[in-house]
Amino acid sequence: MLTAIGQSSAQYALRDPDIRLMLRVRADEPGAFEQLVLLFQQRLVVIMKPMVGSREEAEDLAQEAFLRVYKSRKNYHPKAKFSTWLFTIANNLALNSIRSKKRRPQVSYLTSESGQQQQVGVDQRLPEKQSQPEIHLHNVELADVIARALDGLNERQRMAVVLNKYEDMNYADIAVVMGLTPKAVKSLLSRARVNLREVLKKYIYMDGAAPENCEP
Amino acid sequence: MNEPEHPDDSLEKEELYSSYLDGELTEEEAREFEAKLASSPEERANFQAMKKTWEMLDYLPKPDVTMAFTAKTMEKMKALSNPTVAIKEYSYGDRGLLIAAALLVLFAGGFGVGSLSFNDTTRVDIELVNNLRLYENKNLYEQIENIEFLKKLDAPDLFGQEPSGL
Repeated sequence: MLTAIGQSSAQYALRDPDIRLMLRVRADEPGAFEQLVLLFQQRLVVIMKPMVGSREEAEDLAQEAFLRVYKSRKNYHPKAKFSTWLFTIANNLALNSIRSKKRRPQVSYLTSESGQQQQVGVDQRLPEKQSQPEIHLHNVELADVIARALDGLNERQRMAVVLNKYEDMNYADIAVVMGLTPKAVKSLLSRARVNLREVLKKYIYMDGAAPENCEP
Repeated sequence: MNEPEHPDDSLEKEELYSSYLDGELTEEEAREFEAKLASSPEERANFQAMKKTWEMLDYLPKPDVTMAFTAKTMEKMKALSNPTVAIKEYSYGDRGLLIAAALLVLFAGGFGVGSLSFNDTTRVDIELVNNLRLYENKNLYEQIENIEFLKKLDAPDLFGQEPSGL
C-alpha cells in the first residue's frame, strides 16, 4: 500500500497511524471507516461543542465532518497529520454554521451541566461585572461561568483555544487548521487569554489556592 | 512615579506569557523569561493569573458522544454508497446494454412460463374428454358402494328395454 501512495505520503503514513487508518478507508477496507469514526468522534464533539453551544449541534457537525471525509476518501493524499486535515474540515464546518446563525436572530445557546438548553441574549452572555461571586460557588455554576466567558470570545479565538487546550496542538498545526500563520495564532491565543482573564478574574482563586508570589 | 506602559509593550508581554505557557519559546527564551519573572513580583502575579485562567478551562465538562452517534454516522455513510445512487453514474452505452439484457431475461422468462402453462392445459383437456361420462355422473357414482350392484342395474332383463322414442 505504501508504494502506491508516493514516497512523501508513505513517510507521513509511517509516522502517523491515523494516516494508515485513513488509507485503509480510502481502499474501502471493511470496518476501517467505522474504526476511524470511533477513534475521533469524541474528540470532534469536544472541539465542536464550545464552538456551536449545544451537544446536538456539535454531533451533527461532527457527523457531517466524517461524511465529508468519507466522500473525499478517494482523493486523500497525506500531506500532514491526519488529525490536522480532519480538524480543518471541522473548523470550516463550525465557522460556516456560526456565520449562518449570525444571519438569524442574535441568540447564543448555552447548555448547562444538566443538559438543559437556555437561550441567552447577547447582552447577557458574560457574567455581570458588578456582581459579587459567592465564596462557595458550585463547580457546575463555575463551569457555566467559564462556558459563558469562552462564548464571549470571537469564533477564531475560541477555535484556537479549544484546539490548543483540548487537542494540545502547537501553533504550527493550529495555523494549518485555521489557514493562518503561526504568528497570527500566537496573537489570537494571547488575546483570548487576556479576554478570559478579564472576565474570570473574580473567580480565579475561588478554589482556595492563594495567588503565588503575589505581594500583599 | 512609574510611567504608563506602552500598549505594544503590554501586548508583547502577554504574548510572551502565552508562548511560555504553550511551550513555544526556545530554551534560551524560556530561561530569560523565568529570570524576569523571578525578579518582578508584579509580572509573576500577572503571569499566575493568566496561568490560572487557562487551568479554569478544565472545569468545563467534556461532552460525551451519544450512544447512537456511531450507528447514525455509519447509516448515513451506507446511504452515500447506496448502489441505486451508483447506477446513475453508468454511461448511456452501459445503460443500453443493461436495458437490453433485462428485456432478454423478461422475454425468455415469459416464453418459458407460457409454454409450460400451454402444455399443462392441453394435457388436462384430453383427460377431461376421455372421461367425460365419468365426470358427469361423479355424484351419482359416489352414492353406490358396490360395483357389482351397478352392473346388475345395467342388465336388460331387470327393467326391460325402453323404447328409444320415449
